[in-house]
Amino acid sequence: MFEITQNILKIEDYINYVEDDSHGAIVSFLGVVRNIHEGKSVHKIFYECYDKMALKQMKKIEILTLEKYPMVKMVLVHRVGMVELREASIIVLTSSKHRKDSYEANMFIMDEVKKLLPIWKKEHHPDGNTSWVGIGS
Amino acid sequence: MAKMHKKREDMKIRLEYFAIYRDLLGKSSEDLELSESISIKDLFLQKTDSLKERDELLESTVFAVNSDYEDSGYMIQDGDEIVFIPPVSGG
Repeated sequence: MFEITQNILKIEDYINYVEDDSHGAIVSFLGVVRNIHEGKSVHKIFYECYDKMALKQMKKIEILTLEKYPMVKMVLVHRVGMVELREASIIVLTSSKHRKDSYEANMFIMDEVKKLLPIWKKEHHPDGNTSWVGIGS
Repeated sequence: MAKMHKKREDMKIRLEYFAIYRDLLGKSSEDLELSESISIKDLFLQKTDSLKERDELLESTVFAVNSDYEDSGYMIQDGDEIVFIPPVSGG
């Protein structure tokens, strides 16, 4: 399953989607807001999303993942809006019979997220300035 | 007597602006009518003509049509929803 939400992300809200009596491994990844980026202090990040396209691209990521790792169950959830330090902006959960597929699929999903999802970070700095990540300075 | 011109069928498209484009252009969307098909790159150059950052942005921007990525040479069609996609930073 995949979704975009404004809610605080908690693994326990999603783990049931990847639980399976025949799966002995669950890998969870949380991307969280940290306090520094390229030498500049950060105290929160606003995530903006082109929702319609992001959902279409998430569906593509799900298809690609299940083609590559057909026995894996997956969850991909991205939070949008303002996200504070230490809060999660993304959760990726994968499960499989053994750990190898879960680890690999989880990495694969995050790599595709970084390439495909039309989501943008606006960093808020302690001095009140803001900056879009990846665009000029 | 005024010369009568047959009105050409214009193409109607929608542009949605996100992130830095919404900030720089000061709006989140606009509906446009085009009298002929042009490439997305040409549309981008028209809409960002006033921006001093235009060349830098063009280098790092990709394009979306109806929620799929398209290259800059895509010729715009009637009804398209177009978005200029600056570098993404999800995750």
